[in-house]
Amino acid sequence: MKIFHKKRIFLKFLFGSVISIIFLKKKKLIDKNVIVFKTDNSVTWILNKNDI
Amino acid sequence: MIFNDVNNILNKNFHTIIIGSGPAGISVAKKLEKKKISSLIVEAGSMESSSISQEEYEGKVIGDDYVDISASRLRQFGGTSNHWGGVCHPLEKHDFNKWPINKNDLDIYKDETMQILNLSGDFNVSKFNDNFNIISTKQSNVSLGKKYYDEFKVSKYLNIISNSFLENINFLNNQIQNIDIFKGKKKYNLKSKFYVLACGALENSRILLWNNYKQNIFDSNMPIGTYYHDHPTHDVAEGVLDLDKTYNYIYKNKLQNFFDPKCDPWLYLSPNQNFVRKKNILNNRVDIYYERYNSNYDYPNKVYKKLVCAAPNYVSKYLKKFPNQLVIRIESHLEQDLDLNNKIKLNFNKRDSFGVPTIELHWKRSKIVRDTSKTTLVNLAEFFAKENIGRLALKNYLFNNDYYRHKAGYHHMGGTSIGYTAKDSVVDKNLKVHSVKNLYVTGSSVFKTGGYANPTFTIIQLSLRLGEHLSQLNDI
Repeated sequence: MKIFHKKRIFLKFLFGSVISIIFLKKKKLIDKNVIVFKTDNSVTWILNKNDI
Repeated sequence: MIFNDVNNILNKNFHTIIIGSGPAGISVAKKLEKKKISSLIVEAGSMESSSISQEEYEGKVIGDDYVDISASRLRQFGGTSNHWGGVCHPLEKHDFNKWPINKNDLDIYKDETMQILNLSGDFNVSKFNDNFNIISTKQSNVSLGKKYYDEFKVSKYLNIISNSFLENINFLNNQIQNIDIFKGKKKYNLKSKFYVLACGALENSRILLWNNYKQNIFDSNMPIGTYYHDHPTHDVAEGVLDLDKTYNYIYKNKLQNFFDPKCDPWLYLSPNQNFVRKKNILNNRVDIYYERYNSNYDYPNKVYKKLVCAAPNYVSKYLKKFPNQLVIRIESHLEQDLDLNNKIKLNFNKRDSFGVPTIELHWKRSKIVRDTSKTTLVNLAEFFAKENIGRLALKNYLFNNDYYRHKAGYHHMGGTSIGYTAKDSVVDKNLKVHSVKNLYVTGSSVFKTGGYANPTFTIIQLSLRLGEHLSQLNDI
């Protein structure tokens, strides 16, 4: 019973980690491709969102 | 032969008289010489440059700020080839869409044009990415006056008389009978079978307008002086390129032949026809100049400081890892949309020393010029950011209605454009003035559209083609 409980917790942790990695990686990829415009007095920079 | 005294040429028979000794005039004469046909060039300026002669080119510009039209042209043997930038590229196939001739008609004269301009190799255009092509241009250092001076001295087919001003073209029954020139204060009458105007875009129109004013020769609908255009050129962006990533991209896509790290501009890019059509913009070229990072030189430092403020993460993550960065400056070099209001007129209130009205040039850039630069540069900047090649900053005037300076161009085009009828053009496909049997015009004044290519290469191709055409004509 105890072994089964530990196994379930471990599987839950593993599953959660995999989902988190996929989600974070995807978010990073999306962020990398989001273009933003940042304007100062004379120019407008065209940047990736994660440059700022 | 180089003649100083008009009396020595009065009894000679020339097949063609060419007015103007710039790249266009010299190319026509060279082609005729090859066919052993004798021509005479009448040059208003001298064999050397002179400030007094340049004053004759003064004129007035109405509209947007423009280049000084007395300085952008040279009134001497060799014409503007004595002070040009030397960038050469032929027009692209699609640039001829509105012309009555096509690229193949001029490509026949490519090798001869290369010889005249002391060039070798080939011009290439290749895909840079989905929206842009990369272009290889060539740099000529030739000054045609210097190059051909000795040949003119000895050749019996190449003849020139300098300091001779075309005062009047005498027409009768739709053909030129003869021309009057002033040499010093004396007037002379010269005659040949054919006559070619090759005085540059502004002067070709002025001569036709002035003679039409005096003699009412041409069809009243003929659009002489109209559809004038240039290559509006502006500083549009600055930024930083990651050299490692740039080189990787260039080598991965086998584009190294288009790229010489020692040359400046560093890269020439141009949006492809799909992009131009899809976005409804003008043809244009993006010239990327490099500004080597140097603490003693202010410009790269300023750009770098602006980038640190705008994109601190980019600078800390990437640029510190790759100190081999390159600060760049980008110029936009555009074709101009055709506008009937952009025209050359005669200014009767100010005349030159021969009493001929000076030029009043009406010139404006339309909204599409600014929009074209914006659309093109935003797309390129987004590509550089996505591929992590670099980051670009576009000048704010592209996004608002602020004034922006026309930086260069110096490419006077149009005024006597090529076409099918006297309603839409001044010359036909053989560069003959509609309804006049023996008058031809060559040079950038006949350009229907300008593309992104600097015009001299095409001017010489067109003029060699005209020389070939004239060589096949014995009589009117």
